[in-house]
Amino acid sequence: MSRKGLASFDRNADQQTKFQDLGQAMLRQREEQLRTQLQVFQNALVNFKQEHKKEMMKNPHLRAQFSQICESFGVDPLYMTAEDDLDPEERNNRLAIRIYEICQATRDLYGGIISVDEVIQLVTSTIQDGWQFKMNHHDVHVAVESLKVLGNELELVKIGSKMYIKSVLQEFNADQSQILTAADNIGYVTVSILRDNFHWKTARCKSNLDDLLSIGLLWIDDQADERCYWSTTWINKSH
Amino acid sequence: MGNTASSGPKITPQDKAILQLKLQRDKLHKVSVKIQTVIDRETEIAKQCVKQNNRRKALLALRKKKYQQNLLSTVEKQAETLEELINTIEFKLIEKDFVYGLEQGNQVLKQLNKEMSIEKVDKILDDSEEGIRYQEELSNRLGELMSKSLEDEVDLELEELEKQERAKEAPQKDVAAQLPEVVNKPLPDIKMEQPEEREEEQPAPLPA
Amino acid sequence: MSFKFPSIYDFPPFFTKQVHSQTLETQKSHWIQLILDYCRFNKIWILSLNGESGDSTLDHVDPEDEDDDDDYAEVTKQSLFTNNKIDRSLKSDFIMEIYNEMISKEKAEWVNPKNHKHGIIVYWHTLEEWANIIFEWIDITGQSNTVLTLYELRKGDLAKTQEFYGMNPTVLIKVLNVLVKTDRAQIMKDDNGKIAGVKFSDK
Repeated sequence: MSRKGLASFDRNADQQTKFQDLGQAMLRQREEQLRTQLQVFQNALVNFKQEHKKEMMKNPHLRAQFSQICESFGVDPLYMTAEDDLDPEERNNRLAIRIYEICQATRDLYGGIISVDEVIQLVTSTIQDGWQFKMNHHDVHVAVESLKVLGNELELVKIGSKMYIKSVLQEFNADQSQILTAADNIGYVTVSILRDNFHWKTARCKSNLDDLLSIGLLWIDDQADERCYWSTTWINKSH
Repeated sequence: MGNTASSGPKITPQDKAILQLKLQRDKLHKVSVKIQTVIDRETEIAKQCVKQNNRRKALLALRKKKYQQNLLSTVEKQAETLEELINTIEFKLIEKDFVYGLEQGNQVLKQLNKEMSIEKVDKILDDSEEGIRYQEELSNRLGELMSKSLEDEVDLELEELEKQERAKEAPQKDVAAQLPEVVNKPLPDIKMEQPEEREEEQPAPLPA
Repeated sequence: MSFKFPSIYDFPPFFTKQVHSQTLETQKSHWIQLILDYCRFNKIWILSLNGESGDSTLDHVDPEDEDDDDDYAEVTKQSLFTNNKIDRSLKSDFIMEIYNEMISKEKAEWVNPKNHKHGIIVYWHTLEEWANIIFEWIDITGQSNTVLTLYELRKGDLAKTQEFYGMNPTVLIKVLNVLVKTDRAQIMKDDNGKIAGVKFSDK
């Protein structure tokens, strides 16, 4: 039965809305489908991680690939952080290695001393082999402690109120610790600052400063009124 | 001009001519950059003068700018002409190479044709004609043949028929076999085949 | 976008030559890296003795080269060796020492070995690397076997997005010489005997 005249327009309009409804329904359906598919995939990824935890821990290549896949599917690769999956000992070992690497890499520039804060910042801000660590001061303590087995290369020292990892074999004497503390506070010290504050003789100031210079912990700046001895801990401070 | 002894690409006189043109074009390009700088500066001056209500100076700057703009369009046109010329020459060179290539090709073709003289070819053709004819015949024959499966079916059918015939009309067959023997004594081999062929043709209309 | 200096650039002692030898080595290697990064970023081919872009002063080296004076009008006159923020600058003898070290490591070359006042050519790519970069580009853009002017290479529209765009003419000629020596190009001179063009061979 075909309608004629104006009625046919009604019918057209009718159809139009029906088609639209249908179209929207289909779109919704597709969206739903995609959403479930994605969900399924994400779950699969999580399951995969659970199942193959051990292999992944052993195989950095697999781990890196996995975290890449995770990223492309919007799964937080932080699922893969050490916190969840590593037993504490393994985690500590990995941290210790990272810390050791950082100390090695910065040794020339910093003269073999680096603040624990900077270490933490460097460790937590980088992803390596698909691992990203969260860590705190305590972790650093444990890690450095465990590295002692390899010889006394790294050591935690307190200079002033701050903790540092020291990777030089030299020991600071009390004077030198004091100098480093002061230098760390404002960035640098001068002979007169030391004289005035610690009431040391000039010679005592000089010899201690020279010692610290010779192990690369201080850098000189001759473009001020008096020679300034800057602490390497300030190289990264201004940024 | 600078041709050091080296086995890099060869510099032809055309290359030198193109270089001259391109250098000329570069010069024009540099001039146009310079003029553009002047134009920008005059525009800036005019703006400043308007701000300071110095109409006379602003007009002067604008006039200078206008002049430079004319100059610029002339220079740009010239550069364009040069560029076109360069393109044309470069393309002509390619065409020349193309023609040269054609020439070479032609010569090779001629050479080849010489080597393949008509008589030679005729002789070879004659020699091979027989072979070809034989080949053709063979192909025709083969073309006539049915597909293997059809052939098999036909064979089967033939066997069937033969069996039936042997069973039903054993005496007749004997007679049929005897008949050719009487007629064609000297060539029994061929005669043996012929009856088979006939029988093969006979059943064909049956399935149809 | 301007160049992002490393944090050590704001560390005042970085501008004083260190007395302790190992620290000095570290300091110099950081300066060299900084110079290379800085020049690469700002496309500085020639660095003057006081750490400014020396490209515009090159005209004085080659008075015939007046064609190129419009090229470098926009170069900043800020010296790399002066940090106004912390009011520190490198002493010239230390700059010389750093330059010499760069030269010994083939990261730089005196513009004029007999007269150092023109500064150094900075090689963030070696000449061989540059030669390969340019030759590759010529090849993939189908410009082999055609004649190109030096200006076209340095400033042509086609070359605009290339790293060698704007290359200093002196440096470019050195690069082309590498290509000539390896039979990958032929240099062409103009009527005054000045190198003006080049033709590259097929791969």
